[in-house]
Amino acid sequence: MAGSGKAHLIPQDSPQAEDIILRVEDLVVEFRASGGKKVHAVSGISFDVLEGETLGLVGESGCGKSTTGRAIMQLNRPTSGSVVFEDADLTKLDGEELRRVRTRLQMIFQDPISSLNPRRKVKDIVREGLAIWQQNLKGISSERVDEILQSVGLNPDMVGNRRPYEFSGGQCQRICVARALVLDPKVIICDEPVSALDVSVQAQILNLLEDMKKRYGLTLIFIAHDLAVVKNVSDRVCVMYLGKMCEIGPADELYEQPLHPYTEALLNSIPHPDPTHPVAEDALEGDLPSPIDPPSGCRFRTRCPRAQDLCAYEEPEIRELVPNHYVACHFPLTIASESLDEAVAAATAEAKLSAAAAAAADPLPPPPVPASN
Amino acid sequence: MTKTDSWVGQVTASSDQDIPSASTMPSDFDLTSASSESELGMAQDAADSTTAPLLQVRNLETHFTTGRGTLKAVDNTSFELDYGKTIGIVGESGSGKSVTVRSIMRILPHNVGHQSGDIIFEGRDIQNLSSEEAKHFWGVEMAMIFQDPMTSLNPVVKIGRQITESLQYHLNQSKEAARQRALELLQLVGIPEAERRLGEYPHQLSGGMCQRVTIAIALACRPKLLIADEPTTALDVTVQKQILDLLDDLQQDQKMAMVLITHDLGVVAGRANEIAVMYAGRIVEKAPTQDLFASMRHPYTQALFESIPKVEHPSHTRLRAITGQPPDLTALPEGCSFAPRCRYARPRCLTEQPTLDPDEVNPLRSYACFYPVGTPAGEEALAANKAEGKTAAGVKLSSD
Ligand SMILES: Nc1ncnc2c1ncn2[C@@H]1O[C@H](COP(=O)(O)OP(=O)(O)OP(=O)(O)O)[C@@H](O)[C@H]1O
Ligand code: SF4
Ligand code: SF4
Ligand SMILES: [Mg+2]
Repeated sequence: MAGSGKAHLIPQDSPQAEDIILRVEDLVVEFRASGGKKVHAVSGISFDVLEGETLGLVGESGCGKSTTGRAIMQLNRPTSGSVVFEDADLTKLDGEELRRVRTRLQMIFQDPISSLNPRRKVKDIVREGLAIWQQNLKGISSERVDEILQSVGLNPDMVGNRRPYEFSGGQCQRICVARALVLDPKVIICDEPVSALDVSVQAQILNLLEDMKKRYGLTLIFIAHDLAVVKNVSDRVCVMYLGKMCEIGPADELYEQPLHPYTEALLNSIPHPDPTHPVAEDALEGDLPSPIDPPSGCRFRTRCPRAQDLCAYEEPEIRELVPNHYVACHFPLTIASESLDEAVAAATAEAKLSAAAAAAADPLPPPPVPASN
Repeated sequence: MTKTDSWVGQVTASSDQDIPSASTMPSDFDLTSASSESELGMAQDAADSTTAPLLQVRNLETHFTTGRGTLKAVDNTSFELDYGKTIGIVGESGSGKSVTVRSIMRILPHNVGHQSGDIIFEGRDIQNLSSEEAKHFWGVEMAMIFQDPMTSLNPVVKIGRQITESLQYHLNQSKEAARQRALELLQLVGIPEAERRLGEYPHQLSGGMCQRVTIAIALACRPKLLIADEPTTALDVTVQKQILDLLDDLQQDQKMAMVLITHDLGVVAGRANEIAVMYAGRIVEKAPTQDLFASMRHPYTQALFESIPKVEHPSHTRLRAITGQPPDLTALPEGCSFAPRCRYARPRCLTEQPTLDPDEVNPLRSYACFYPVGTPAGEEALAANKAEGKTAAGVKLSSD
């Protein structure tokens, strides 16, 4: 069995099930690369997003967080898997149906300036919503546009007739937020919304997103590489590495008590704005492997300080180690380094047993690990 | 703790960090087979026999001619750096960090309208070196690495040749010696399978590995000063840590001084002996790292620090944003450039420009502000603004 598993998805019979506003299940996104190869950008990601929460997706470049966001929006069509939003599987909808859904599902991008049409006036940009949605605009009044501009901290009389190039990055991001809000969405996917901004302006936009979330009852998926930024806005955080999920749990708890070795390494790498805070001794070694040919078993094993033989041939399945806090790792940090040997022996024995059981039940040879090529 | 306490408290906080100074390091360190004898003369003697700083920058001004008028990218900027030490230059985009060091390295774009100031390296002004002197100076005594390693690597030349070229040019090394040294350098910067990498092109390496190569090239001639302009900004946080750790180690081994430029206060907090904070083309506060973090005097430094989300804080902690945005450098406001955003701004700030002056109690630190945070003058200014409900520049303040 090689899959990240779905233990963290909320069961149908749980009372929480009705709060699920969006469910991503077994999401796979592959891109064609030269030489007939495939880039495994996202390889079987699943998560629930609960109404009113902010779910943070964090990880380093190439971990597939933006691809996940775009695949939810169907901006790049997933290779397989489902994205269920308001009872509809978006991956199965055609263009016209998608357009209708998308008013309820919006996105904000990293580079605010280039995501706005420089020739259009601000009030038209906001009225039109995201161009890729080709929204039918008749319904949006100028009062509505003014109200939204006001609420994102822009004075409609002063900015409405100006064009994006006259504004700073922070102001452009406000315009992007206004444009996302104008259609009264339920969910907004924010893809690195502050990473192109000056630090002093970043805080303005983060506060704005928090305010808008409260005011309009939004649900956010917040994608970023900056761990402190993600923690600041998120209720729950999902850590990704090379197209896979490592860990998902409540924000404060996950940062306080990481369970996955990769999460710990990320947290140890953060430079603290405090000279009395000791710089962590160990750095994670090596580089991110290529997503064209990701490592077998656990994709983090080539850099993981705890990696064992088992990690190379069996992919860890996600499981709940602490209530609501899930991790995909054979040897999570709840196991003290001293008792790692015992855990390795036990896990290896178990893996052999289950492999034997699978072989007995199934006369065919086990299928090749899909992730390894 | 009362305000007065913290004002007094910081005086004793002054301390040097524990990076040994160059003159106390053993002189027989040898990582390399290359000779680093300075062609410019008595560099080593200067290091041992005087306490003069390695680098002094005085009243640096660099202005550009643009379609919108004169752009004062760097104005009236001065700092010093001792042998073996690190100064961190922090500031937001456009604050003049890169132009400052590019002025020092003399790699400015063509539209410079005005450039002045002294750049003294080991006691001599390096702005008018003869071309023969320059050949043995830039890249030898002083080297630089950039944010995007690809800008300093030639995409169509093999890694090995990019390193040996510099060795052959600057140090007149033989081809074979240079190759041997290149191999050592790649090992020194932690590149596995160095032998094979020598024959590869930059695109075959990851971003982190490319940055290691540019560091290897910069270190090839064992410079006394390394200028690193956002060396890790383009890299992932785990790789950033690798590179910063590497620079730390190399710096200790080679007793090299460093100017470390970053927009991230976190990066300099752990790595620099001294920090200079830039805003709108000027240094607004400069202090030993410990002192700066113990108490920030300039309202911009403090506001910048407070606006950063801290990973220790619980999620949904309200951030203290700075209102407004950095000024247009072609149309700087009269008076203090930070006044339109400053919570402390009083009428004087709108007409008079504060100069970077040493603190009366702790002369190691200086700041350019009439109403410094945590001082009686600053507290009075803030209280007055709160009472009035706004600052002199019209920024609304609540009385909390
Ligand atoms: N060739 C040029 N012509 C005109 N203006 C320039 C030129 N080069 C830089 N500037 C301006 O000088 C100011 C300072 O730029 P500088 O690159 O030093 O900032 P920085 O602090 O390094 O910013 P960043 O963090 O974005 O690297 C900016 O306003 C910039 O736009
Ligand atoms: S211990 Fe094994 S399973 Fe866990 S992260 Fe490391 S390599 Fe992966
Ligand atoms: S108090 Fe005045 S001088 Fe000091 S930073 Fe604010 S505006 Fe500038
Ligand atoms: Mg720069």
